[in-house]
Amino acid sequence: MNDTEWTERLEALADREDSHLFDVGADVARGRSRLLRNRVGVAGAAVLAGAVVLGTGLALGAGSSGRAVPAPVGEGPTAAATYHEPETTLSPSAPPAPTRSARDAYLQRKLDGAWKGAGDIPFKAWRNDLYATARSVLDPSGTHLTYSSRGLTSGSDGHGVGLGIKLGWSEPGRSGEGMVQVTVTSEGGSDDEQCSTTGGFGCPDTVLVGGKTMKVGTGDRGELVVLYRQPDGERAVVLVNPLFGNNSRTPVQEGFVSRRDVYRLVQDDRLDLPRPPSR
Amino acid sequence: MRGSTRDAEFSEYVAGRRPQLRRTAYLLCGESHRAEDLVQTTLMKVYVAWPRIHRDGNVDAYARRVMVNAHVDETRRPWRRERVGVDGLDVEARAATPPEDRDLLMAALADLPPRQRAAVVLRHYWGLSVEETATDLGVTAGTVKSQTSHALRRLEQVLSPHYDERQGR
Repeated sequence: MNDTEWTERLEALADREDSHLFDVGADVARGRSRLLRNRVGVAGAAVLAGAVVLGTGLALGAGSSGRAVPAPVGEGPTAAATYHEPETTLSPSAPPAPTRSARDAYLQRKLDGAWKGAGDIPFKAWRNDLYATARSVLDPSGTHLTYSSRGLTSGSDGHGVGLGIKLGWSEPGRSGEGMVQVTVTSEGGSDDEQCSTTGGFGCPDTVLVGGKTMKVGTGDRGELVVLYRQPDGERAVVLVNPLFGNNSRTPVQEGFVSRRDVYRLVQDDRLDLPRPPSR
Repeated sequence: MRGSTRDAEFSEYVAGRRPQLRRTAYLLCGESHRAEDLVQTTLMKVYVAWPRIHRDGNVDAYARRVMVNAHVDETRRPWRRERVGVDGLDVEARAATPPEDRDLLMAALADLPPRQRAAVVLRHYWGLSVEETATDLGVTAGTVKSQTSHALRRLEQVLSPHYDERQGR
């Protein structure tokens, strides 16, 4: 096949994608939001650096001699505050330095060993318990949530390990399928990064429910992601998506799970990573 | 740059280029939902960098580079791994012999490593030269040549039997 034929075939394939319906205003809004976040990150870093410099100066001044001599006050140079748009952007927060607990090492070992085949999938009992927990909170009648896959989502970084499940949500008598994804993770990175990794979008809003703080974000297609940082530092993340993209082309109605129930689930103390078997 | 100017210029760019970016994303990741995510991620970064890249006159190149890198990053993320359990599948398996040529091509593309796939898309969908592709991917021209060559050979291997059979060879 020559170059022209490859081009024709790729164009034919790309034309299959319906790409003509879009909202320019939404793209602008997302861009503005990202720009604002970056500027907040840059400003925060500048404030922090200023505070460090000021603190260091005060400490040195206090320690250099017992007597502080006041500086003469005069008409110094004046300058108007200016703002320069950053050419480079900084991530709002950097992941903490890697530290791996014995538990994370155990989880990682099990995960690494599980790649040999579907029959070796680890943590079967744990994921079934997680399903039971999700069902007890979101679907006590047992008529909506399905876990036909018995699959396991997993990930890891230098800091920890994350495990989770994807569940289908259907409305009896109606077509379409939504998705509920539940994840428990000890990985590093900011809350926003964790939300983005799970749902593809961040969780910029902070919500206080039942005396506990959660991070919340919403997607453009009715998705909702909620993150809760547990007292031990592990994080639980619940993603609710009206469309289970792998399984269905038809979404269920937006808001098929109430926010209240999602908040209850993400705070549920049964959401805990598996523990190594006790000796 | 004033926000209103940025918005106006960016909007004009999006109106003109979004369909092509969306199709490019589709070729890169092979799935509409993820393609849209990829386009949104790309355009957010383009908006942030707009004053510089617009001034330098390389908006398309920047957008392509961001998209390819975002796609490659995505494929590296361990979170995208999903282990299928023993009791069933939640991802429908690809048919062994898809009826449509395009399905077969998409399946073959999906089996390529992300960088090889990007090289093929940039060279043969965007019509970029080897040098332009190398700049976009941040690699040497030699690497682009070898990646494209490997990729096309693999695609040929997968597709040829099907085409030969259809043509009664």
